[in-house]
Amino acid sequence: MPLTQMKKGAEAVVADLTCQGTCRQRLIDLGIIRGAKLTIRGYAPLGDPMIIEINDCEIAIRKKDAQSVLIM
Amino acid sequence: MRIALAGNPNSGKTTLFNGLTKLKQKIGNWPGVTVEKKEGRYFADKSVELIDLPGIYSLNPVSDDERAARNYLLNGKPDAIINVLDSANLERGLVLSLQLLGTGIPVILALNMEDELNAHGLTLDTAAIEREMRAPVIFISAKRRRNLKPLMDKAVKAAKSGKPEIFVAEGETDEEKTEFRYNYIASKIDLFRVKSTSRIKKITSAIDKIVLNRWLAFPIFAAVIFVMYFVSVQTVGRLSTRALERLFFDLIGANVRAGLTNAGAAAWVSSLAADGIIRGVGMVLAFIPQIVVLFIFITFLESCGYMARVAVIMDRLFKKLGLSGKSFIPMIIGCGCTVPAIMSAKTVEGSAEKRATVMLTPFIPCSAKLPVFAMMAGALFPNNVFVAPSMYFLGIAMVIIGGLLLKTLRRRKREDNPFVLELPHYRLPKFRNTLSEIWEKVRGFLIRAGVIIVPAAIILWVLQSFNFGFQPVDIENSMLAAIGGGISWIFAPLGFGNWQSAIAVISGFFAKETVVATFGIILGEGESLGSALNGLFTPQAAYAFMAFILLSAPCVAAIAATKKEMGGVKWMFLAIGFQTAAAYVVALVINQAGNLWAYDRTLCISILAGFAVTGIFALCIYYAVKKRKSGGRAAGCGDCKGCKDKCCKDKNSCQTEKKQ
Repeated sequence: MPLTQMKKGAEAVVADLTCQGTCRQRLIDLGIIRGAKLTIRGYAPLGDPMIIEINDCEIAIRKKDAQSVLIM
Repeated sequence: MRIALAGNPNSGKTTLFNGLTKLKQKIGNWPGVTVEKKEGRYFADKSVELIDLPGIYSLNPVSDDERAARNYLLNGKPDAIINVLDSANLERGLVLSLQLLGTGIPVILALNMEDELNAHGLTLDTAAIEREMRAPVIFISAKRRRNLKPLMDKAVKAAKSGKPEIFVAEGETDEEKTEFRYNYIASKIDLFRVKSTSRIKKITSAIDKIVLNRWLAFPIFAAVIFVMYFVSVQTVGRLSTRALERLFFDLIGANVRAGLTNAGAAAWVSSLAADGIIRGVGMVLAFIPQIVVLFIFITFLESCGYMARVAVIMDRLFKKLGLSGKSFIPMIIGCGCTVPAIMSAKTVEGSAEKRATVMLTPFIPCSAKLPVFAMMAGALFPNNVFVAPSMYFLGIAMVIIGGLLLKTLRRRKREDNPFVLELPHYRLPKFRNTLSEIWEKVRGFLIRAGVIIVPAAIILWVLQSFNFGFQPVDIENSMLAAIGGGISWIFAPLGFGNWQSAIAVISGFFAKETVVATFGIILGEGESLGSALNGLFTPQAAYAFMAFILLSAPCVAAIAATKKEMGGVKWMFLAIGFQTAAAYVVALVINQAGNLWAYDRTLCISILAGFAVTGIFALCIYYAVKKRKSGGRAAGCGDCKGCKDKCCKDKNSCQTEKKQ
């Protein structure tokens, strides 16, 4: 299931990434790799981007990009 | 010997660089402050050259600034790398460290922001890190300039020995290697630190709850901008500007004139000094208090951590305009000066978004335009507090309209670039660093006043004092009046078709401060300037003039920056043409609408009401049609638009569900 379906406050483990190219590169650089744990911190006032916490660090990420983060 | 500073964005590289070189490069609290490599020398040993690099997450770059950093690390052959790490954000930092350790260049790990780490209730075991990472490790505090000398001793030692252990990441592809590095760090991280609850994190999330709140986010942002302009233009600044004007014109100007006349100087010499240089420069310097107040606000915004939040708030809106939320960071820096603002557009991923950002950033009023607004508002709208802040909101409105326009004009399909932005913890800025940031900005303003305003004042004085035969004449018969009169027809539809405004607009091309200097030299200072401006402008023409100065082609320095960031003369002319056309149209609309308003209010109101009713009607139809198409959507369904109150895997499965 993609990350975007998670509710605020939920925790999840990354299962796979479905995007390629620079998107994949950037996600991996930020530690969004298979097995990484993350928490949904919330959504921006207009609903996009969403804010996640990974490795003690808050990151804003567009839903379009978060769509390609599959979690279990 | 060359030592490079490398590390994640916002880890404190430039703060450390400033501490080691005693230089004053720009710092701030958001990822991507440094966008170009900067060079300097270690203050204690001038033979050591230090290179400050833009922040990177890995040696696989996405944006232009990251590319510059990677190219230097791999091709510039530094003798050693000081890898600056944010202690509170160690895990990801160490992954980059492993990649740097794979280059064969000696690496020293500098654990920065130890103080913040302590506030997190953590300690780090440097011995364990040194053992597992196989590289020298040291705690530093770049902000408080602590442990800098031992750091450099270690770095020089490592550079001299030159034989580091190379970390080899297992895996075929870059991706597998990155995963290997992450897993390596994840398996060791518990050896490095002890976890506990953190105060800073709690404060950060408490502040974020308010400033990122669905209903409060935009009002708070608007209030911040309003307060910034209101305080700097209307309150503190206004009083002290009066005092400074008196100082420059009544004291210095009058005394210099008297002194020169007594010393037997020719009349033209004392006139050049008093009516030309002192009046021109004085007009600009009188606005220093307002500029300083503005800079205090901007510097605080830059260093507290709010900038990244603004980017998050704005992203949804800006994406619709073909921009990125990160495009908003240049637009706040642009309140100070457009040149660094345009350069900071480097962090925007994707060349189309970056170009649009560079083209639109000059619409934001820079500090040099502030004196123009303050002067015009003071003379023509003395009791209206909204005139100066309204310029900022007009600027944003034009960014939005311009963004939409550029998006429709763009022929190629947009490249698909990720938007990912790290949100730093809020920090109270260190007083010394803030002061030096403010001073750097004020210094830039003063230097411009000297380098550009003084020559401009001399030229203007010569042109206004002589005719084409170089005979002294009164101003109405001077070269200046003739030149201005020759082009003033261009501005007649905008309401300021007088030669004085034409000259002011042209002089603003060199630096926007010159506009006030020009009016000062042509029209005189103080009371006489106010009444002269009232004679030249109707209120609507004055507002149109302010809008024109706000939006038209920026100063030469900003145009040069535009050319550099856009990558070509063609783009530069396109940008200037776009900005000037926008300025002309907006000023035209303001003036003509204002004229109509002054001529017949009832007609004006009925036209406006007509537009409003039509607009609302059109919007209703648009949403009704849109709603019929999409149906209701459950919360958190992402891009899924097709099914009622249900989430679906993707767009396609949605449609099949609906058909059945």
